Amino acid sequence: MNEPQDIARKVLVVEDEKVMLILVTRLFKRGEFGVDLRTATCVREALDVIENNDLALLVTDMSLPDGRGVEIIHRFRAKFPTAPIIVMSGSLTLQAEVDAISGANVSTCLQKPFSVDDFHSAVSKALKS
Amino acid sequence: MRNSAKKKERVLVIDDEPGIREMLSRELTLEGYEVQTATDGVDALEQVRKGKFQLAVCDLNMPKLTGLEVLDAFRDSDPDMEVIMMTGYATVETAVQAMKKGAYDFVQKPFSLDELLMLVEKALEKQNLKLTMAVYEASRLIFRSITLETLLPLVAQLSLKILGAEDASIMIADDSGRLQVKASASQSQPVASVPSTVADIEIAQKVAEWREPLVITNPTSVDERLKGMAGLAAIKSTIIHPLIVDEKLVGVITFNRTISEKPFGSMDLRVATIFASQIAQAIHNANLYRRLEEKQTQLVQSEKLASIGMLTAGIAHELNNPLNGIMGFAQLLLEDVSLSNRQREDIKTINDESVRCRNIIKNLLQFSRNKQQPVEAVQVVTVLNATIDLFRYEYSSAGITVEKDFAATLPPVLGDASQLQQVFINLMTNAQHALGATAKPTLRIKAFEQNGKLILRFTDNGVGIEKKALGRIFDPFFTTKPVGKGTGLGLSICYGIVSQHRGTMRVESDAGRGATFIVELPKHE
Repeated sequence: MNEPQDIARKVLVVEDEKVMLILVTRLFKRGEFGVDLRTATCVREALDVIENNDLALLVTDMSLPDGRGVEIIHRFRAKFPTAPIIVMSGSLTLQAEVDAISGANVSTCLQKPFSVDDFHSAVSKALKS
Repeated sequence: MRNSAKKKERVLVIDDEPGIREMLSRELTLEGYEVQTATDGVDALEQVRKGKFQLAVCDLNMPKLTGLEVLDAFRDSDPDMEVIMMTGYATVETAVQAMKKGAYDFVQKPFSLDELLMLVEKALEKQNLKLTMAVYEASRLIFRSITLETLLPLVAQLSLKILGAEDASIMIADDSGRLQVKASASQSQPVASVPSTVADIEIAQKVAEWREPLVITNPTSVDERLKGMAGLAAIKSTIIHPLIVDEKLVGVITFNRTISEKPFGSMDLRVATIFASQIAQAIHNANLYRRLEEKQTQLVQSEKLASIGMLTAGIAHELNNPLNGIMGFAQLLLEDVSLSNRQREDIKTINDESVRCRNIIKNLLQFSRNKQQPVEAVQVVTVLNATIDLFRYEYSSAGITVEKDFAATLPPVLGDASQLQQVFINLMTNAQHALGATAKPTLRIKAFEQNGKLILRFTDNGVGIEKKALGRIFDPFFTTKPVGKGTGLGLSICYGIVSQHRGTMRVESDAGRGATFIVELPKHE
């Protein structure tokens, strides 16, 4: 039941682990959020997507093969001052890491391994805002 | 003229001629020696039995016993004493015989006084040198021992020899200054188990306070300050010497003569003073060595923790992604309506087990995490009581008694209350496990302040820890529990937390006789 004037909102998912990327993609489908999913597996690709798209949400891992998620978050925030950001990481100090990025206004930290429900509520909340 | 106040060597003059006795007695006294006289050999032996002499000047030709016979007897009763023989009709044979029997030298009557005085001085110099050598030898031995456990019994044993004591004990002052007997030795008892009476310790405590040696040879005429003290009457002859190094009292040593009638003299006190200073230094060294060892152990332990922590963090972190895959897809599968009940159960098991893995990994990461410096003032007593309350039900159902031995308030420590509670919880959990098969299981928790530190002792009367496990008890992944029952991280996490509070943690235990975990935390000023 898409509103006719509404083209699907674009969401960027950055995750270098193939299985995790598949899982996150599946979870988006499951949630029926009706979003247009873009994926990236490294910082360079992610920056490229940010450059060329109008994005409504960023879901990113923190450690990537060619750099840190922080770089992506900063670029995303610079271009989209109000769009929500969800950060995923396996590090126990994730919250502290995110807190260190002052002004980025990250909506949710998802500690890996997260449950299907955790993910769903994080994305629902982010897309509602 | 000799300095009579400094040296009071005791000289025994033995001669049946009153003229010689009186002349020598007067002249030697003028020289500053303490002189006794004897009229014949029997009298001389009696005096040597009763008192220590450094030198005897003895006539060769006397009634009852000849000079040579007296010399023989001296070799048995006091081999260290030097003897100068006087002879009126010197034949070369008797002189040679006397020298062979160990006399220092001989003079021929009539002798010049100067000649004799010079001999006396030389003989006493030799005597002093011998004593110094003995103390030096003993010092060399004691400086070779670097732990108090070996040093103190050795010192006690050497004291018997050096001071001719019949028993000797060494008391060491604890942190609060109270003396405790740490080693003793006795001529008569082969095992170092000389019982020290409360009175002995009390007198020693006085010496520790005054910081000066005390010689008791006649219990009825002691120092005014000791009057009325119990146990004095039992003392025959005692030297009680403080052990002081860098102006700090480390202990007290006592030398006793209980059987022989020879009281300690001023020479003995001199030897005792030299020996005591060496002992004090050796004890000081041993203490330094122990502290060095403790620090080193701590350093090794924290390095071990750090490197294993890094490894663990790396592995745990790597496991999070695959585990997220297992958990996520299992949960997605569970939403499939076409699953049979059995399939659903199986997948649920996969999910539950992955949740369990997640918790283990969380614990591992917690262990390796670089915690922030603790900051608030924590009332340890409050945390202790809260922890004891937490265990109230578990302990009472297991029949374990908790004995609280601490004041209602103690000085605070700087730290993190929840982390400290984690330490206490861990220790109480371990105690509970150790007490599983004990009759009258008891955990005694003692806390007190000492030297700017808060000391917490958790003592249980459980199974105890085997010696080979003691050294590894704080090692990460070391566990004595069955596989799957413990990660082996509990105590190493505790160790890490206590170290972060700039404290120390150690354990004392005899297998089968319980264990005591000791946590020391610096007091917050």
